[in-house]
Amino acid sequence: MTEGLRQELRRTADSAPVYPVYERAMATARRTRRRTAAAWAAVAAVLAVAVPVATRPAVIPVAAGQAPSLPDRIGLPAYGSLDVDDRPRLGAAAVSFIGDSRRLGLLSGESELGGLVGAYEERYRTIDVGIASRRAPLLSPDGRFAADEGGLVDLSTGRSTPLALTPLAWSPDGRQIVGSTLGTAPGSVDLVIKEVAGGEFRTLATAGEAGFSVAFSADGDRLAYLADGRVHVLDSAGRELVAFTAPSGYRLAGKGAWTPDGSALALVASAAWAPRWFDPGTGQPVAGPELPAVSGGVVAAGLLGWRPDGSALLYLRREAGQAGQVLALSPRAGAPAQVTAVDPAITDVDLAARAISSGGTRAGDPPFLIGPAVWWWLAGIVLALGALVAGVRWKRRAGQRRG
Amino acid sequence: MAEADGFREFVRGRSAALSRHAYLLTGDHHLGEDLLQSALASTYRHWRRVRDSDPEAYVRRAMYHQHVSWWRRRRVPEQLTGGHREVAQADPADATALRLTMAQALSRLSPKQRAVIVLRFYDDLTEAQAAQLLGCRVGTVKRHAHDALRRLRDIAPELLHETERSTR
Repeated sequence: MTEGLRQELRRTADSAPVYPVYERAMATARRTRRRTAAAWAAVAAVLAVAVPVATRPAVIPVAAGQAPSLPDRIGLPAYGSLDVDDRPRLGAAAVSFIGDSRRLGLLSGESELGGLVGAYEERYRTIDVGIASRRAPLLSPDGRFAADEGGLVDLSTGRSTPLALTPLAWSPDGRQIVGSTLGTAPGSVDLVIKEVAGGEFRTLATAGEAGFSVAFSADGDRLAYLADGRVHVLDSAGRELVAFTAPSGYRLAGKGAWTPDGSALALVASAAWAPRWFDPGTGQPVAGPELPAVSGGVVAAGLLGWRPDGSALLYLRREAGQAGQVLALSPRAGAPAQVTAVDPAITDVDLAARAISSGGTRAGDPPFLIGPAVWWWLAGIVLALGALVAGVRWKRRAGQRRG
Repeated sequence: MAEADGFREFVRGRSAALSRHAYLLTGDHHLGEDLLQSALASTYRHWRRVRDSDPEAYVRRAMYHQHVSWWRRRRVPEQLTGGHREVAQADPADATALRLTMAQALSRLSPKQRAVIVLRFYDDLTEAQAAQLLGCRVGTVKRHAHDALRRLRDIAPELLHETERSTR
């Protein structure tokens, strides 16, 4: 039987022509080789990006001797910007801000996100600040922590811990944070101080619903707060050194309200920049630094700190549609000098004390419209579409087989 | 291209034999052409490694494996009745009828059974040689050969009868 099978197989095989496939085989081989090379190149590219990101240390060490600086321009984070807990970590920030922009709140256009700009380079991150927050996250003096009502975020690890207070000021050494909480009496607010590393609140004062404005002296030995129209100066143990009545409608000028030598305290009226200076030891008006006047319509202003050259840094929010500014007010200078231009959509800015005291500035480079996270979203969409198409084709093929 | 040295000559010299294998395995000239093209492309990519050993065995092994792989992936309709572009000349009418019957019978076998049938009864390989070429155990070859022959006996007894008579 098998001999017949052999003969028949040979007869059948002999009817086959010689297939002219040499050129096509060569073309197929080259195409496959190109695709293989492209696939390996893609794998290498993905690994080149993924491995350094995955192996980057969770805590970013700050290079010795490296000084933080302020960008000369602050823009909005991109759509799809990395968040504060994304890798690579920011490490420390020089600037925090909030604003009214779709880039900071896709649903409402009001701040659901704040923005952070790196202490040493132009890296932007977003940070959750809750809907319609009015204050930029408060940066610790070294810029490593950002505090707001939601909690305390460590920018070097991306980890967030609850604070249970509305932060108002950091102590200059960064160990304590002062904030307000709801008081036990109806309609009252407590001023509390808390060790950042942990520990209980210590209540410093109680005031009405209007709350407090707070500023530490540069050496951290004294704390001034304004509540219910009076200024109180406390020592580091919380004992009141002096209290005096502020001019009506005035408040502390900002976290930099103390002059660097502690000899004067600046109070300003709302929505204007015309400081009046008081002796924090006596409460008497004094002649403070002769700072140049600020012209133009001002919606809000905050004295954020002092640079080594003696100039005060002032954040100004201008009227709607106008760009904000961070100005350097040098004593006896004829006019303020702009340090940083602020995007018109930004409504509040905070600067890390160390970035101010370094006196350094750098060229600002706000991100383009689309940020890195958008590419991940797009990659996910492409993968999902690819899976969908493959599924449909597989189903169609299965249908054909059954048919 | 240095790495292709000898490949063209190899293809030119062995195309006829390889085409016959491809046709027997697929039962269709188009599929046979595709199968040979794919196997040769694979051989070309590894030509430097295989040219000094036995490139034809490599191509045949590639064809067998590729064919089983295609069948798994695509479940291509297998018919040995594809349009012949070059019809054998001067075949007796009864031989043509017999060949069609043989082709139809082969199309009823699984790709592995067909591969074993081709290796054992067309290439005249031993069971051990066929197992080595297919990368399986001798027992697997025996089982496929046994099943294939039984199936041929079942579905085409007249074919076996004719072939037996014709070989006496």
